[in-house]
Amino acid sequence: MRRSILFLFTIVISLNFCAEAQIFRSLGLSGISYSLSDPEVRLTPFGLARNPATIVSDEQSTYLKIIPSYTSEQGEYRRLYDPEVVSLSSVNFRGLKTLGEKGTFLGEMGYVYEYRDQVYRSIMKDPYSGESFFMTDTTKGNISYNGPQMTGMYSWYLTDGLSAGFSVSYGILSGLKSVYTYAKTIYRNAALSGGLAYDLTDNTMVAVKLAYGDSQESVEASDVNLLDVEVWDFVGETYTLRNRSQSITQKVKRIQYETSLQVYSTPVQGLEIGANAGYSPKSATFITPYMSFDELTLGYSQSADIFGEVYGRYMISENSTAGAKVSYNHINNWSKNNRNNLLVWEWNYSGLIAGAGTSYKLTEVPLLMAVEFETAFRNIDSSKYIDRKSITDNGADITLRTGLEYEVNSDLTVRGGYRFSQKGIDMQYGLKDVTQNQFSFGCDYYFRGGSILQFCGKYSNLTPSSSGASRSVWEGFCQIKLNTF
Amino acid sequence: MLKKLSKLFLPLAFLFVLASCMEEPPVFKDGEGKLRIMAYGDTSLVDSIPDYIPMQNAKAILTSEYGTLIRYTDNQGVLSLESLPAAIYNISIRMVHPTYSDRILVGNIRGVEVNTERVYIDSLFAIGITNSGLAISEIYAGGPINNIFYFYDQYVELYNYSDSIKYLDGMLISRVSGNNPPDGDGGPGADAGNDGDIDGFTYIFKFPGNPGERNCPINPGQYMVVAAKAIDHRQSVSTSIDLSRCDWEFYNQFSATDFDNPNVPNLLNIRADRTVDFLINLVSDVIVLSSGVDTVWSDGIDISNVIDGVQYASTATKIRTIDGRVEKGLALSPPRYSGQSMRRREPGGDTDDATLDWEIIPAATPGRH
Repeated sequence: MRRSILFLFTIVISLNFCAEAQIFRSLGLSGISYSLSDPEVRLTPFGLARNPATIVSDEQSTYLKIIPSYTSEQGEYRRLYDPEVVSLSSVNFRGLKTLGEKGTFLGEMGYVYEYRDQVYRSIMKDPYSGESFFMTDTTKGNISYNGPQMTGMYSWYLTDGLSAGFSVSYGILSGLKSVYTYAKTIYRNAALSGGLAYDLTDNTMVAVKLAYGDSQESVEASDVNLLDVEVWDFVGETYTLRNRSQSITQKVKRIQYETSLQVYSTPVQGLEIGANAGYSPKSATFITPYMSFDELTLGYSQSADIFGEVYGRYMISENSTAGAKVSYNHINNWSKNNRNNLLVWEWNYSGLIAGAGTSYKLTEVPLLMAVEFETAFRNIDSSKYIDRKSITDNGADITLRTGLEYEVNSDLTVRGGYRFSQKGIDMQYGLKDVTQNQFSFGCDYYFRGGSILQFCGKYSNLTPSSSGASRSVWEGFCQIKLNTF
Repeated sequence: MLKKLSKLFLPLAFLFVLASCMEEPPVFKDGEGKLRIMAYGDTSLVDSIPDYIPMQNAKAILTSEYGTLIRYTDNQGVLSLESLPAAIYNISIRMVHPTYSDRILVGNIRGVEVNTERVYIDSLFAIGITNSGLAISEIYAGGPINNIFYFYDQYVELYNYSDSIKYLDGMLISRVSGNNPPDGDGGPGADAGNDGDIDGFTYIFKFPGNPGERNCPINPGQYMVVAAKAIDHRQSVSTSIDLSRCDWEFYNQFSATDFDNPNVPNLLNIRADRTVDFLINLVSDVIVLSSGVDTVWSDGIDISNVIDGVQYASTATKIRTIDGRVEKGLALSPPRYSGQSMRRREPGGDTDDATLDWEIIPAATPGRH
């Protein structure tokens, strides 16, 4: 495979909010979201930015969702330190309780099991996080991660028209490599966010969200036979600091802030506008033990993310809806060698995405047709000073999503979708001119009493034009929604 | 409403202030270090007026925390390097003597601080190393790949650098691991009391005969393997090596358990109080080859009697204890039970600086380079 143009350079630009919130109808329709008239696809501060202040106004009924899911990813199109196969299983329980005047509570509890097959040397959970420091050992092996995650969110009205909310989440993953260093990982992630939302007018709401996240990845490499293990700390791509001992423990600490502002408005009947903009600085510190009693900060990385997005949705008639989206994202990141205060790596990313779509429900037959088209312009500028590597590139993406939904009867609805993407630059795996084909399908079954069983499956295939390699992803989600608990 | 709004946006302003407290990126960049060293070698054969020549196309070995770099000087004898990561480098430049192929010119510079703001410029003056003696050329101590803690296939390899036959009669090979505080002074191989000898001898094994006798020859360019146990170790661990036909064997005649291969001549223990086999530490120890003229080990072996000494350790940051007149640096040892070995980079390359002279190799090479 041709060398990745963005080696060690991955940015998750923005999560599609329907995927993050697991809106099954949207997932089954190839990810069509803002062009769909659906009570779960919201453009509110909670829908766009998970601002906890507006669940009290967004959610009117109690429910409990049980969501098991499974994802499998494999293929030759991958980066050097990526696993050959990834299997991710999880089960989540999401419960929302309306408490009347006392507010609304949302609780989530889940358990994740991830198995990474044949990982080449990397013993970090994510070696492609945009930081120039990462650690490896000297063998290829399988790594598994598993652990619980939980979130509690509460929102209430302070006064008429002013609501507040906060959210606390905590997750812990323990990882184990099955060979040689038997690297044990403890990945802890804690986050706290708070928000305020104010009704400026009868149809316009403004909200602010402040968030703080703190995570720590601690990796301990030690041979079970008390033999020596060798851990390499990469500074960039070429140069390494090699450590050897019976047991080596290293840590990466990450801190993230986010300040964002959301506006939600319904200026005229049938028209919804939602906007979200903010600033999110992050830092990462790479720490290694020093003289067995102290810690040495080997590397430091800092990132600043400025983002903004505006969504609009208009119900043209009872049967048809149109939607549009514009988003912009700029990230500036740099890493330094902390011991001599020298700049190791600096990169910038800018991305502008614009999209529009529509959905139409036929009157003759209970069939809904939907389509969304998006185009994106991305620009990357990366200078890895220590390796003498510089990349400046830009590219345009196009994405077409189509979907059909058929109401078989009052209890059963089935849907399917197809998504085509031509990526100028694949931000995940790094090559240019990558084609993605994705097929999705799903169904809803309504039980008597209002409970719903939902299922969604997806298959996608990524193929870069410069290589015969490809990567396939299978995903399956299931949701049982109960209206009482 | 304005009051409410101000309450709403105050936290926003606070976090923006907080965010603006993030660090500024450094001005200087890593990977822009420059180095320019003019290398000259003294080609004179006797201690008279030096006769320097530019060391053209000579091998340059740069070691730093990032590992080892091998580069070459140009036709003018200049080592010119750019885009180096900032670090402290030890540099050794060496080449074969232009007239006498049995001599090498070697020059070392230690502690070269390559940074990003300036070009490091220096001159290096190499001296001729006379290949007239013996040296320890390989130490295999870490054991083969195994998980049963097998390390009995250790050996020490000697090499005759000179162009004449050398005789090992009466010479001593010692493990030096004593002289540690609080009873000792300075650690293994240090000159405790500054009386011109090195101290801390734990095991001392002697070649047959006495210094000056000529019964144990080692030919020019010949390697000799002295094994801890001269057996085929593959019978015990398949990843090990066959030492049943090695040249010499350490045999402790005071040990009730030490195995003796009757087909391999022995070095015998001269310390009757030591009744265990000759075994050395897997990753950190001091090995000394001495002439055998001074055998009174209890007060240390005179430095003038030391032919070669090597201290090896698992990390480059370990403090060297062996006396600087014997060895100026530490050799980096391979991991335990890795099957790897350590040897001199070049058979004739004994500059008494093990950091630059020695390298880790992926497998043991008994009797060859």
